[in-house]
Amino acid sequence: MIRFENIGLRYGVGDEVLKDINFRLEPGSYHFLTGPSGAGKTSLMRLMYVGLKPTRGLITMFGKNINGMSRGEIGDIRQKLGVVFQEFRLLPHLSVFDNVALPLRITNTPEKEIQNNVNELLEWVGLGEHKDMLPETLSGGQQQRVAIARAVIARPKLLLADEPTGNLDDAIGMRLMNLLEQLNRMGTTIVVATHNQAIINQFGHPRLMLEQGNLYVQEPQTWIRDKIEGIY
Amino acid sequence: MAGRVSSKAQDFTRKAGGRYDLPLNRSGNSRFILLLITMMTFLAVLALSASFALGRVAEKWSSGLENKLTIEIPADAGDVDALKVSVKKKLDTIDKIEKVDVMSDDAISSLVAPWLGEDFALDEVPMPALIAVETSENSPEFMNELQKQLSAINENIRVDAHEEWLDDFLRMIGALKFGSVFVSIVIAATAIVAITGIIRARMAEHRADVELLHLMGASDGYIASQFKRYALRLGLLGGTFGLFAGAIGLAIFSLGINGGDSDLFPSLRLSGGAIFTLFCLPFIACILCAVTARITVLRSLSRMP
Repeated sequence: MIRFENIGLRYGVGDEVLKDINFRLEPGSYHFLTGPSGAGKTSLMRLMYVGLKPTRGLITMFGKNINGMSRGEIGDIRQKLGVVFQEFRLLPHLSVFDNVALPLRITNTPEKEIQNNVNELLEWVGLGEHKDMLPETLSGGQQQRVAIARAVIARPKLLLADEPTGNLDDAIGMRLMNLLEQLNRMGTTIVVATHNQAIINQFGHPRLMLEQGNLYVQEPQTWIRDKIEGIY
Repeated sequence: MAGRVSSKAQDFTRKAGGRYDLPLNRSGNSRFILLLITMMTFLAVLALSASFALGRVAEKWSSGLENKLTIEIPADAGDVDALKVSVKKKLDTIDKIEKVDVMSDDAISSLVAPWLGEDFALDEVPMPALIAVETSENSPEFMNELQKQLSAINENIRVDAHEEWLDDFLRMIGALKFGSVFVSIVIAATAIVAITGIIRARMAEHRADVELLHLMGASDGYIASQFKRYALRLGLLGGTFGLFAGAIGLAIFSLGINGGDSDLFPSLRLSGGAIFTLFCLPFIACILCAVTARITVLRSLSRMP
């Protein structure tokens, strides 16, 4: 689904923030992306949702090299992705409903289908009563749920979530992680960037560990063993 | 409840095609654009109306003098009354002469009255005798032949086909018409430049939101269509307001020039074609705005990642 080969990324003339990144995500896989602040998690996420192009190396998404893609093709790729941004990035002038409906409207989904799907999803994330509210009137946790609903409404093939439980209480955070698990079981490939060790431990998916711009892929049995031995 | 958007209102705006993913219609800039388009359309209405009116002036003068000429017998040519009779007799024998009107002294006095005064006595200065003639042909060959035949009666008799001054007059009217059309084009170009600048500013203002739409897979065309629809609406509104303002301005101006036809200038009563053209201005304005917005947005987007 995604393959990064010898990817390097630098901003301007500075040092590389990502160095020789190599990994592949198989369809239906689920990975946690972890690492200390400043390790390059957000940059890696941006590369994955084609918000940036690498300084060097080859990125293949859905079987296509993104370097040679036209703007239209990149748009088509992005329509297969769902992204939950750390800072939510909701459109403040649109209601909760319209924010969540946005990916469907972009793909010209019939309005009746939009109504059904959005209402159903908003009920599921506990925001059915708030669908006509503007985002600024919601709490941080509610806004995050809107952001997650928006990311999953179009049933993306790949879901990228940057600290999706950051502003949620434990119960709702766990409920949303269970939603991601369900989506993953339905075939959605998922990458969750998080610092939350409890969640990482509980769900036990492979980790993409970033440290000083280098990426280490760890299968769960490895990092669980390392954890037991006190390495992390 | 504060911060709640009415579902009915949302449904209505959606059905009316009024929903924008970007908050384009929620800015003071919108009023500025509306005012700008209104003023540009107003000026275009005035400039085009001036062009149409000048067209009517030219048409009135050229059609009024078509196939008409004046035969002038100078006062010092000899026995003017006898020459008048001879010339009339000669003219009556020429086939292509349709009407001959020997102008009376009163008619000549009224012609020179604007320059010499109403109580001017014709005897005080030597005045030429004038004969107004209508012909069925006005070719240069016919004019030369006529001049030759009249010169045979008296070499001082002159045939005036009004060409010299009419050509100058029509050239001046043509230049003014061109000026009016040129001003209209400058107005349109100014509007395009202004709208381009404003749309670029709106793009910069909403850059983060535009990027977000891109990241969700929105095509450049989808984003451009939002700006296009916004500009189309403002163009139509501003164009309509400008047209009405222009119509009021023209009505006031028309009343100011005697409220009707004068000898030199016709009234500002416009032809059906001219009125149709002016009524097209709001549509031209909205198409201009929409196309400008679309091109500007697509060019700006092509520079984004």
